[in-house]
Amino acid sequence: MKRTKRESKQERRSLQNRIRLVAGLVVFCLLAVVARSWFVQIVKHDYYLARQQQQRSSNLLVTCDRGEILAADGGALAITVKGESLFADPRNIDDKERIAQALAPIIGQKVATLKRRLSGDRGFVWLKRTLTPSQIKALKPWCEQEAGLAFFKENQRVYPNRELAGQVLGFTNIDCCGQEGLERHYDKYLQGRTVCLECEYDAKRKLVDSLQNPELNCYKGKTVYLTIDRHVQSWTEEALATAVTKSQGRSGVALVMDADDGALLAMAHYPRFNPNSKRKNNPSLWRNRAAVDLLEPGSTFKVFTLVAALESGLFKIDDQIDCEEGKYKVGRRTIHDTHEYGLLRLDEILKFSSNIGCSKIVEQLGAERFHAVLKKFGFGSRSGIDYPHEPSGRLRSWQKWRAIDLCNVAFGQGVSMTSVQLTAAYAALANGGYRVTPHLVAKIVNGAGWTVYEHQEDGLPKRACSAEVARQVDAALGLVVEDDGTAPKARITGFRVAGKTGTAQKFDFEEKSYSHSNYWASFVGYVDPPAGQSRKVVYVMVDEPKSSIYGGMVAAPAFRKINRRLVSYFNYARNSAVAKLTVSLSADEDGLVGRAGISEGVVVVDNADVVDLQSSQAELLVPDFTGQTIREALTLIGDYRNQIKISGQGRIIAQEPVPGSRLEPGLNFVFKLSSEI
Amino acid sequence: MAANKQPATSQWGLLNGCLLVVLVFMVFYCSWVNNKIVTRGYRLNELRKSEKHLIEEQGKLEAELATLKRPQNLARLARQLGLKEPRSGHKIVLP
Repeated sequence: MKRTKRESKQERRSLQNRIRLVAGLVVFCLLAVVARSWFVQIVKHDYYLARQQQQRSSNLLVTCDRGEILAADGGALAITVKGESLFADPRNIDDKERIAQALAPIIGQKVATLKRRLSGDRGFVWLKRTLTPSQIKALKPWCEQEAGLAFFKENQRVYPNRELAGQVLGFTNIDCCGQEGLERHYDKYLQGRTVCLECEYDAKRKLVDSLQNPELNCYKGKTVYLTIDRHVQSWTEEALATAVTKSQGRSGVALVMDADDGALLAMAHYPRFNPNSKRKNNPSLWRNRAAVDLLEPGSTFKVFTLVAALESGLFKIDDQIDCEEGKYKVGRRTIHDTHEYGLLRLDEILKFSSNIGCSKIVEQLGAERFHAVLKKFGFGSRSGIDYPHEPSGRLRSWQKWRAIDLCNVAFGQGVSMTSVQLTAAYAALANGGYRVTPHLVAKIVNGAGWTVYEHQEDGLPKRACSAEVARQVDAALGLVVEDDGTAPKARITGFRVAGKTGTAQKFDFEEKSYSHSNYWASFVGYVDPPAGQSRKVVYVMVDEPKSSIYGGMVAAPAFRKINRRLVSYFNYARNSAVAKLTVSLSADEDGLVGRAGISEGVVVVDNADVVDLQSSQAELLVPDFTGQTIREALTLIGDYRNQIKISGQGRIIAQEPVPGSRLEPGLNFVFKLSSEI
Repeated sequence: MAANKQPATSQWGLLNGCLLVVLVFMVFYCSWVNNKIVTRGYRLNELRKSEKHLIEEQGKLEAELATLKRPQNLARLARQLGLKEPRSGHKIVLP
């Protein structure tokens, strides 16, 4: 028992010692860990932190995406997407000959070029930038097999609307830097900022942290909102293309400008240009001719002669000028009219586009006074459009004008301007006499949604002419589209149209005289909108038309086509007096009227863009013209008239056919007028 | 006295045993957590890559959509479907 007790006591002691030893070791180890941790975490904290950061992270320069260009209707005109490019590390390619031969047909390059690129000893060479989806598909197996071939993701500028407004937008180079057009002009806003980003790497120095940092959006290029409306631009381009091809012209330009603020809704060119494939196009197509090319306006300029005459107070709109039956000598030169005119009122000079009438006006007016009015409209200087390389128009000092030069300027020769400058001057007439700055950009918004730029006119509005003169000239421009005016083809039934034709001779620099075969045919004008809406000035110019040289024949139909779409798009009201319908449901074979919910009987459709006799089987009634002027009546009747007899002066007091009778094309109208109303 | 000392020794043993179990458990737990962190890290990275890829795809699809919705294309498709340009008389706006 005693021995057992001693033994068990020894065993216990031994066990206790072992336990103490183990516990001591554990405690020692823990203390060692704590001590080491203290040393690492506290004593050497900065040193190890720096080492850790050096190993795990590195700074990477990242260029953020280029901003978008959007149209006024919200549609994307220029956006940036991630594209794939192909690069090679020639040091890791063994059979360069085979690779060059295999890749050449896929990426559309010569075998010799590829071989040359692969033969160097550099670690990185581009083989093809911005691949198409089909090229990526074809190249994928090669990149998987060959260690020395790989894709590289980079930004690619895309123009989803292709040719639409191509010359206006311009383009970027392969590194997304603006090179032409708005891309160049607003490059500093569109360009994404290059930021230094701290990125995390794993043990194999592979990038762990994604670059999709939400904060990067703030450094993205700004979004530019244009005044261009994609739909208006599309119709304008379509109408211009038809006008140029029909007239066998060389090229053409068409503009749509809001007269109140100078916003350009459309800026069309023909031939068109696709910025997605700029290299395939002739560089001459890249130019925005509407903004940078100077041209002589021809007869479209006569309206400013009329403005100068009325502004001076020396002339009244119904003053008559002797147009010398078509020939008028100024010094040794003779000025001609296309037709022989005798006495013409000032508005008739514009209506018939008389060169002699304009010459005689400026002769009486004097060069200095005429020049001052032209300067007020901004001729001879830049319009201030937000587009690169706008030239100043050419308007020589009035002291340098000889007698013949003064007369030439009066009908638009010897003076030059861009299409935009001329349209802006017409916009001033259309808005009641205030100058506007043409512009393409409405606003610019940054990544955080703040508007950093918004177009605003500088200072107080500048007057180009008085409101009364603008009103009188507007009335005179309305005569141009009458049957005996120079542009009946610009007329739109149910709407009042005002405008002016231009047929300008081009200067032949070889012959050093005006050409008798090459012309600029143009038309510029507007349609009266309903109250509260601004006028939209439409300018159409065809360069060197062949089938006809006259603006009234070549450009006016395109003007009409564009405006017919515009009146529908902007909900212009057709004159309500015409929009009286008698609806016969029995005759409504298509059910169109019934579906529209119109009941049988007489319906007055006010503020309507209405009435198609053939489709609705509805009848138009002759309106009551009592109290209206003969001009108002003629506008209302539009195409329905055949012969018109007028007796008396003043406003209409009686009419035939009587109001309410059926209005059909080819009617003979008799109006009795009296000034007593 | 000897009878009193025996329970003290067994308590020590029990305590040490528990400490050992806790230590082993802690080691396993730390390994498991570390493993999870690494696994989740890789998964997170994969998802980030996937997100980036999807954003790029979205950009490309938006570009394609914008191309398809361009006015000329819509007009062409409308003509193919037999639609015609509306003339002014085809539109009736009632007061």
